[in-house]
Amino acid sequence: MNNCFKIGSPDVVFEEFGGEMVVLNLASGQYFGLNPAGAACWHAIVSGASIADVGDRPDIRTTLSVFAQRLQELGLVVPADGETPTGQPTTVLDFQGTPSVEVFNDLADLIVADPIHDVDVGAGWPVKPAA
Amino acid sequence: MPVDSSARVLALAEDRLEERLAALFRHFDATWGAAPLQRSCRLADSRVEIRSGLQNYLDLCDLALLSADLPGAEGGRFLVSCSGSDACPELRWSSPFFREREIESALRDTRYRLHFHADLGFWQAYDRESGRGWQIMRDKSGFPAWDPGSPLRNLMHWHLSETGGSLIHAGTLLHAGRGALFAGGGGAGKSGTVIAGILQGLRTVGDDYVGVKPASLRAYPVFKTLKQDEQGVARLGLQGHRAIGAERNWQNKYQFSVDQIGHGVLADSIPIDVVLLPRVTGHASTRFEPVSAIEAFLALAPSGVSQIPGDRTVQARAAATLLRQVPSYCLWLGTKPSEIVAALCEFLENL
Repeated sequence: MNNCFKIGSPDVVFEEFGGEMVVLNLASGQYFGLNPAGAACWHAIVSGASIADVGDRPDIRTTLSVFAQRLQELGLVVPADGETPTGQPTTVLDFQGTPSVEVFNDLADLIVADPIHDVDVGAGWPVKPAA
Repeated sequence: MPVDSSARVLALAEDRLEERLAALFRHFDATWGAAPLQRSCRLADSRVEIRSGLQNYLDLCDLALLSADLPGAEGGRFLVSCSGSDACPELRWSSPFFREREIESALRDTRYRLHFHADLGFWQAYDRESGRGWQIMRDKSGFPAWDPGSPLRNLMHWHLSETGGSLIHAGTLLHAGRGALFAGGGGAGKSGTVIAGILQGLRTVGDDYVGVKPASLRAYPVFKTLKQDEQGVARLGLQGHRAIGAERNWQNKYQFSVDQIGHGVLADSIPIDVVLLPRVTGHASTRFEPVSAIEAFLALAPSGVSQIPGDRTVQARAAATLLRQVPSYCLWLGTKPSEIVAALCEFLENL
């Protein structure tokens, strides 16, 4: 992981339950399930840890870097280059298994409730798009 | 300063929003003092005083809110006004869009909260430091269709969150000293189960939205509203009941209150011992099956965070804090309300 990351937006909220983690993206309506290894990586990533912060094991560094890229693709984290980490950097990261993130869309209609999505693209707010 | 004193127009915008909200609240006390009507209502374990010149809105509050019998307790002050009338400024949004999430984010660390329903010109603003909330409408009927079921909802949540609480989208029942929260989306059987319990004498602190304090694992009443569609009314044997009027709400549901169907069943608070996720099955017998806290979280949190804007992370955190401390079960509902309630009572007695 060459870059530091931070949570992608204020719309991303996360909660941990018994080692597993649920991440909600309130903008997209998607939610994500992270296994315990994924949750451990998440904590390291959003704490602003850099590659130097997570220990000497090359496999851990590679895994973390790949996982961070996946989270970035999902819009959950963004690079935090040049910013001071806001959390407590992980000094040594260790976990069992492969971190995974599952993507779910079945609550999207329930979660997303923002008038900005209901405006006409050309005219803008407060004009609603034609039915 | 964005206040035009002659026209009493106040333009809110993303730019310098905190400063503009401060300008709005400088008009609060004068408008409060001029408001001729008042109510005192219960909010969890405290109270709020409501003032307005709008009799129709206070009538609506009388139906949905709980009168407070806590004189002297210092609580919040909620004011309901029409934009541009009396001492209330005429409010306008002068940025190109009202971006709810961006506003929420911008105000997160400030003393203010703000919600704006653009289509209706419906504003709700809250000052965390003084406990003052202000609902400003385009005209006396300018509130959302869902508002009569839970009036002043955002203000209630914001005020409650200042004392470690949150509004949460759930129903409640109490039996044998043990309290259950019922979570789930529309059609899950949540309200039908709560009403069935009330009709058989179980106590409650409400349905749809209740106040919770996760640290103490207690739930509190905020609204006394109950809702049920025609099929539900028939299933529960409520046809012809004096609580069931001729009118239906925006969801085509009958709306009534807890005290209309159950005398003395509204408790001051109940413990939260379990979270139940009702599911309609069509099977004769009700049964309970443990589910993970994650599954319960996904049933409890999303609808709340979408329906109470302006402080969504607080609600998600409150739901998660609760669910880490109490067990969660799927409640596979039988078909007969009496059987469901009997099974629920047995379950709570043995919890």
